[in-house]
Order: sequence, then structure tokens, then C-alpha cells
Amino acid sequence: MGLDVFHTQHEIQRVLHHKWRQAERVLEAAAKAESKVQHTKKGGYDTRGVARQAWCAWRKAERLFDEAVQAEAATQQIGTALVLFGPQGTLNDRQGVQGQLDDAMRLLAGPEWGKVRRLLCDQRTLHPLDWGHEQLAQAVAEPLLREALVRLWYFNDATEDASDQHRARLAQLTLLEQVVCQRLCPEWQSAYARVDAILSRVVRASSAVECVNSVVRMHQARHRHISQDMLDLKRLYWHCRTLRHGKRRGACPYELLGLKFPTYDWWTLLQMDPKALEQKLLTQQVRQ
Amino acid sequence: MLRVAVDVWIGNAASVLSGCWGAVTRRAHETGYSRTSIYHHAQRVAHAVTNAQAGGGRYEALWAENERLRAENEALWEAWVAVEQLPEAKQQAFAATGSAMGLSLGQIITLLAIFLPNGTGPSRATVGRWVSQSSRQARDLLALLDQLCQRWVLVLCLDEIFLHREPILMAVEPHSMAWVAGQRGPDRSGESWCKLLAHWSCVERVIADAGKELERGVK
Repeated sequence: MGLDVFHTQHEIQRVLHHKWRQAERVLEAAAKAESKVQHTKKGGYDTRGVARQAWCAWRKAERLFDEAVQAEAATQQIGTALVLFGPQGTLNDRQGVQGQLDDAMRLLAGPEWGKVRRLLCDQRTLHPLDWGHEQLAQAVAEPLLREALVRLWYFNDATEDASDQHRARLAQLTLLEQVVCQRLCPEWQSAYARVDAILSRVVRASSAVECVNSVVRMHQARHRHISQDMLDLKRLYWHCRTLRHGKRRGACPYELLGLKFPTYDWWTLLQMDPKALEQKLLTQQVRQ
Repeated sequence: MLRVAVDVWIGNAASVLSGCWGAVTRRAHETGYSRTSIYHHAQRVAHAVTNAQAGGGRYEALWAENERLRAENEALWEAWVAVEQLPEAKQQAFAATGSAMGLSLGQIITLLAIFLPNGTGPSRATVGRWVSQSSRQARDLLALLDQLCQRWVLVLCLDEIFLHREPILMAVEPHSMAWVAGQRGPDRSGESWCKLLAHWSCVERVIADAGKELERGVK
């Protein structure tokens, strides 16, 4: 079982937001204290008392601001460490990532970061990396070829979402890696297929389930009662609904999962008798 | 429809147009029509002849126009009848889809009332019954479809949400976004998670938050 990084990142953002809000509030208070000093000075009164207050407020504001900046830098470091691949397209490993996380956590002092530290120290957080390395080692025994194939997969994956400007550069790198793979092993395509199957299954965040949760939460705000059957109705509709955006666009979850149905129209499917549908699918499988 | 024979019309017109003194009176006696009618017939005959002289094809054009309008009228009637009598099956599909999309019964009824004539929309109870029936059908169908999904689901993201303090155990396959489980209650104990995950025998990896009971269920 892997511990998802979605909640960790969510907690980091929550605390960081709180830190910035706190720093902003104290900065405002310092600015007010400063204006009070100016006002007192203009009135010709003794400013020693209010000036002291303003000085203290500025000191506090500076300290909190510095803390927030430091926390921001540390969270960026954590974000980089939790990414699956390094900048050169190599799969991160536990030792390297844990080192980066330890460095970043030294900057996150204070009880408010307790939960984040606990989550980042948890062995399960980096479990997907261990799993990936383990599976890759089983799939491709030769380390050099394995690394080259992983880089090739990384460049291919990055090309899909890249802008036109970067795409040309990535295409060159992909070609280069293909040549390297070809030199290392003439039958590299089959090994690449295995690497692709493994790397496309490495999941670190449970944001998929959080996405569905948010949809169900919106529904429950409108329905007075959601029975188990109603949940099933929503589930069936969700499975047959064609996704419009993102990398899954143009297909419904059932299609993406690899299921072949006579129709993906949810109402037509709903009207089918389960036994008749089962028979139909069996016939379809036999024909294939 | 003509109620007077054409030759009578022409005869009446001739008596008027000949200009002989007393011809109209005599013609009225012979045919039994009043003098006013005979003058009226003469006017209409003269008008028809003038029209015929002005353009011979006008009648055909009018006839074609008439045919076109009849066809258009028929098509409009058909379309109107289809809208007017929105089949109940369509209304059921609308209600079930709306409910699956998260609309409440009240919202579904309001939307149906927009395109159904006044007073012909289904009642709240009827819409509720349609939705319940579809939900039961979905439950039966998913029992089969979930079985078919089993061998394709290798990774699962697990979490729980609460509905009126009752937990819903959620499981989503992250690559396809297939919502493979949404079990309402009875609790979120390790046993409940274990029972839920027992259906997914091919699952290799699970991603979840740090919930203790969830972890116990996975183990």
C-alpha cells in the first residue's frame, strides 16, 4: 500500500497559506504602528513609546515573512523531490528523494508542520518508487538498457503535453534514446512495452478518488437522500460518460478500462437485461 | 366548391355582357336566379377571363404553391404532435439521466414542465418511481459489469466520504477514472474495507491516505 502524496501536498499548501496570511496580518499591523509614529511626530508629542511598538512590530513581521519565504522554498523542494522522474528523465530512487526531503524538512520547524513531517517520514510515501524500481528490474535485467528505456518513456510521455516549441527538442532526445536502445539491444521494442506497462501504472496520488468524491459531494448537496441503488445509478452513468478534457478525452471510463460493450450509451445499456447482456458479451468474446 | 354549373355562369354573364334591353330580366325568369346574382356571375366570369389572358401559368403556380404549403403544414403538424406527446420512455430517460447527473426530483420536474404542455407533466411521485426503477436496474447491471471489470483493475485509489454521518467507501481506478466501488456503510472499519476489496482480486497496488482502518483492511 502506498501513501498518497495528494493529501501531503494539500497539507503543505494549507500550512503555507496560513503562514503567508499570518505574515501579511503582522505586516499590516506594523504599517499601522508606523503610521501612528508619524502621526504622533506630526502632533509634536514624544514618540518613544509608539516608536518602540512599531520597531517590535516590524521585527515580528520580518521574522514571519522570512519564515514564510523559507517555508515556500522548502515546499518547492519537497514538490520537486516527490516527482517521479528527475530532470534528466531518470526514475528517482528512495535514497536520493529521502535525502532531499530530509533537507527540506529541516527548514520546516514548528508544530504546525508536524503532520507534514510525519507524512514525509512515512515509509509508505515513497513506496511507489520502490515498486517501480522493483518491477523494472524484473522486466529488464540489463541496467543500462533499463535506464535508456526509462528515459525514452519519460521523453515520450513529456512530448504528449509539451508545447510545439519544446516538442521539437523532445523529439530529438527521443530519437537519440531510440538509437541508444537499438545499440544496447536490437529487440528493445518488446522491453520498452514492458517498461511502458509498468511506468504507466505507477500512481502516487489518490487525486482520482478525490475528484469523484467532489462530484458526489456536489450531488449530495442537492439530494435529500442517496440510497445504495442511487449510488449505483450514478456509478453506471459515470462509467458511460465520455470524458471531454485531459488525456482521457473522447472515451468513457469503461472504454479506457478496456471493456468492449455493444454500446456505451448509458440509457441503452441500462435497458438491457443483465443475462442477455452477459450472453451477448460471451458471444462477442468467442467471435473475437 | 362550385354550386352553379359552368354553362349557367357563362349564360348569365352573356345576358349581362350582350347589352340587350331586358336580357337580364328574361334570363332571371328562365334560370330562377335573381338579377343581382346574374350580375355577380357576370363579374366573376369577366374576372376569370381577364386573369386567364394576363398569364396562363398562374393557376399552375398557385397549385404548386398550394401543394408545397400543404406538405409543410403536414410536416409541422407531425413535429408538433411529436413534441406534444413526448413519449413516457423519453421522460423516464430524462428523469434517470438528470438524477444520475445530480439533479434533484424538484429540478427534474421543473425542467420537464418547460417543454411539456400545462398539466401534462409527471408528478413528483411518478418521477421518483422512475428514478427508483432505473436505480434498481443499475444495481442489477453493475453486479455483472463489476465482475467484468475485475481483471482490468490493477491499481485502486481508496478513500471515504460521509453522507449524513454514514461513510461511503470509495474506490477509483486512476488510469481510466472508473468508479469501481461506492459502498454506502455500514462503517469504515478494516473489515468493511477488506470485504469490499475482496471483490477486486487482481488489484496489485492501492493508494490511500493514512487512515488506520483503511490500512488494516488492505492488509
